[in-house]
Amino acid sequence: MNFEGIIEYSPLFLTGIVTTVLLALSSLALGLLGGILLALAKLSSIWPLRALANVFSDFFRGIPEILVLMVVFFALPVVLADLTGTYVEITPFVAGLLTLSIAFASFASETIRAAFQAISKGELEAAAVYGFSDWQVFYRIKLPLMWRNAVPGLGNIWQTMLKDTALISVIGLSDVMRAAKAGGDAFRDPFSFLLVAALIYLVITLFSEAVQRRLEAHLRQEA
Amino acid sequence: MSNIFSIERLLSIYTDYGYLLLEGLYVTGFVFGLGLIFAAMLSVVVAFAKLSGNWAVRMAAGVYVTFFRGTPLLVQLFLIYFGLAQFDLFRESFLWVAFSNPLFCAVLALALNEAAYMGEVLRGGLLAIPKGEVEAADVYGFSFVARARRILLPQAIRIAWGPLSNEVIYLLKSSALVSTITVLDLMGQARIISLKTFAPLETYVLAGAMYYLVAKLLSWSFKLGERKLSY
Repeated sequence: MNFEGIIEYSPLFLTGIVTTVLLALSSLALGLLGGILLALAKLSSIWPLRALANVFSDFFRGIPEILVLMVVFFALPVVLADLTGTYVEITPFVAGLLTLSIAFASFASETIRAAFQAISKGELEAAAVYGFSDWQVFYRIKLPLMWRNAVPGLGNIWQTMLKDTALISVIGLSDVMRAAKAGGDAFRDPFSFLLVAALIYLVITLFSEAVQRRLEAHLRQEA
Repeated sequence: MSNIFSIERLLSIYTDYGYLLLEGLYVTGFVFGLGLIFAAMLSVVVAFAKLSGNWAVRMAAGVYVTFFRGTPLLVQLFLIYFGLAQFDLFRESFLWVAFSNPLFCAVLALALNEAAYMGEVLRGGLLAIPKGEVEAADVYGFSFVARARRILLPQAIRIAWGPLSNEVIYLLKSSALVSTITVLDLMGQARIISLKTFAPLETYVLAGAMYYLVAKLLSWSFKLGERKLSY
């Protein structure tokens, strides 16, 4: 083990951790929003909307994330430049955010759709009787109840995405993986540096798992 | 010429470089297929080890599963391909023949990674088998292996069929990562072609369609298998 080298690279690892966690959390936020919208589209009474949402999520669940990443990072700027007439730069972080959110939303939309459908009719009828508006029913009744049903399933998708963040280092994002690669190359000791990266990811995923367990227990208590 | 998606460009890429994409698809199939076979075999060991009465065996399996499910596949892939290569002892041993080959490292990493996930799914299936069936097998004097092979595994696989089929699709998608250790699979070929043609969008759409078709084919066959498995 090259401890001196690892200590020298610890600032790079630390900023890498911040980048990795930041990317994962912002992809979760955007992915959840996309997942809810896709789920609502799938449950919509307008068939073109339904079809579009189904095709979208089905397609992105079937192709590798790294391929989507390449399209977003290398092809999207060209397409955008052609459409808008000005060059729009897509940073590795934004490319990662888009890629991971699309993947998360595609998988989550199925979980969320099922969670919406599992809400009992009685609760919605009660809300209607109380004179809730459509928006109030959605925001105050449907969304919290859906959330309770969906959290265990969403937790699995989140765990997958957390590890998928390492992928974005391929296009140059300065995350944990990139720090390990740089340090390993500089000291000709990739094994030690990659092992440190592995341990960092392990701590992050185990910590996240513990938080998820508490959240699930909390939601069960509420129910 | 417009830079937005063009069908003519896609078709010309297909006629000029289609054979490379098919070659890549073949490599993807090879890595995925071998990875799946080894992962399936190893996952059985992992599942039984995690349910073992011996605490040391249980713990070893637990550490294995925690590591391979808790870290990114990319890290595992790099550890095996770049990490192990730095040890002289290793480079001078007979193992180097295998480990200097990216294809070998790719299959090894995919199998080790997927076995951890499949092992957990299988363990869940084993736990869901009704107690009576296991006891009946014991009464008939089945040996441990016979009981596992004839009673437990077929049941566990049937119970866990849905999640197992998801894992297989995941493995196909994960296999695209082997392009990062110089394996020229479908993803690797697509990358090279996109650099040659300056048409990343059309190239990746073509490659993406191929991945999608294979994934669909797999999930259809699993659905077909499910119907055959149900009583």
